[in-house]
Amino acid sequence: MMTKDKRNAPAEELISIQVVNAIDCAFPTGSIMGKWFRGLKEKKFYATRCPSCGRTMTPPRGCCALCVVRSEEFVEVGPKGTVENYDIAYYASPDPLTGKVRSTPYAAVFVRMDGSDRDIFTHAIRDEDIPRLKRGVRVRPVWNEVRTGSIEDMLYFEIDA
Amino acid sequence: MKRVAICAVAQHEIKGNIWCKRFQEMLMDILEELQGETGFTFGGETGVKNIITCSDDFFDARTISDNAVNDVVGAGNYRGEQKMAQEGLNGIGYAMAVILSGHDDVIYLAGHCKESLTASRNQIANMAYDPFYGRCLGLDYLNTAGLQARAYMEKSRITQEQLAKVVVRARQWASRNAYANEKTQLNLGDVMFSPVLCDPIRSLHAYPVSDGAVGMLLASEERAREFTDNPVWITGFGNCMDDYFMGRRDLASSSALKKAAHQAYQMAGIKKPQKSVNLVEAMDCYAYQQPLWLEGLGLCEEGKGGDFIDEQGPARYNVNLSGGMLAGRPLMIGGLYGVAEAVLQLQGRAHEHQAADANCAVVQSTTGGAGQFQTVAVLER
Ligand SMILES: [Zn+2]
Repeated sequence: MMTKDKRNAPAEELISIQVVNAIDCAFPTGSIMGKWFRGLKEKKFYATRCPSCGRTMTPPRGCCALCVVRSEEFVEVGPKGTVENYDIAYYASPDPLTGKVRSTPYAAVFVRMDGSDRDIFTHAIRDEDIPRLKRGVRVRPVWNEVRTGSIEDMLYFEIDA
Repeated sequence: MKRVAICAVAQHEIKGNIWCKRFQEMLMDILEELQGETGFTFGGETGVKNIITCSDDFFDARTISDNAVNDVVGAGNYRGEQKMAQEGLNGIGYAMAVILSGHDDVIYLAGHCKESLTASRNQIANMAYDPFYGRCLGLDYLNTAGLQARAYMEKSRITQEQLAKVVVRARQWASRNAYANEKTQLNLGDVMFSPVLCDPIRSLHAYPVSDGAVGMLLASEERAREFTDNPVWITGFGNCMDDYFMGRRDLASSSALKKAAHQAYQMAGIKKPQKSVNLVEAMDCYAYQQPLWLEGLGLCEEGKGGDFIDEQGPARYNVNLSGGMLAGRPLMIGGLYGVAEAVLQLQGRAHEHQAADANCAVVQSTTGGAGQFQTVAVLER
């Protein structure tokens, strides 16, 4: 056991070791998320609808968490929607693997897609539109020219005006 | 003492790569099967209010990985949920504690693991070691098992032929188990001359890469009959940790398992396990571990693992009639699958691989390099 004097001595860092943790992973998307990503490739948004309470889920989930029942009926929502909430980030965390930091400010928007029910889809907004962001504003998606079936198939929303 | 019942179990078929489903979808299948069998719900006064999940953050590639399955285990609509971040058999011990303490009287317990999500499960096991010493030396569960295999085989005089017998027998039983992963039949030579993975462990000594999900409903003695006419009782439980640092351990013997087993037997009132136990589900990730764990469980005499295999010891105690880990079960929930199998056996519902007259089962599981952490449960009907 350390004596009290030793505990009170100033701490000295001897050596600090830099480590980057990485594990190769491959995630099958299954029949529910798979349908969503296939949809993005075709510029479509597929939600699931709960057979019990009728709410939609975007992106789709195979189980309604409220009713705890399987929900595998797909409905198309959007492509336009209404901003319900948003957040502007002025400090970006570095990517844990590459250390790259995205440019700031950037904004995340909560969008209620047309045709959806009690459901919010989150994505980015075009940087130039940030000054005009407010609750209730109408937005439309901007698509990537090359689409592969990933969340980057959609670049961001832009204000629909 | 009050007892805790396992009312029903559901197992997802195990495969090397269940590419058509996410683990959430596998858990949804398990939930529906159990609800269909028992009629339990999440609503009202008598519905399930607390859930226990078992999963691994690194296999799921996200921290606090239970958050990702809240909906498909019934927790997403304002119910209690706790994650067992240890081998799933410990979820049984935790559920038992919840019920015996009076905190709740029904628990839904579910676990999942998809080893196929990573390029190599050895990468995950490597992450179990500290980032500046063990990890840099390349330690993982395979090569630490190699160290243990060498030490143990020398002590208990186990030959390559005896290890081959263990594997051949596992595959024979697996062929009768609808949920088992690897059912290809082998002969002794196939195993003895399979490629060396990590001397003295050969490729057919190691459990195959496995994806799976498993669930069960547990209840207090007072409520068990609401869900089943055929409850299985958890009568004993114990777990024990050995040293993280390999160099400080006696790898040829499992002190941690002996202590865990002692706790479980004592709680179950078992004085002579060799007389009482007539069914075993042991987590034999590698062939040498089956006799080693049976020594730790007090069913095989210490240092006599080799003779035990030749004298049909595994058959005498109905060891791993499911095929066990050697036929393929995912890490982290191998023990939970062992519970599911033992429950079916004790309920007389194991069909093609049913043991005759089993009434006292021991389930053992392990995590960490070379069996660092050990868990034992005793189940009886
Ligand atoms: Zn619903």
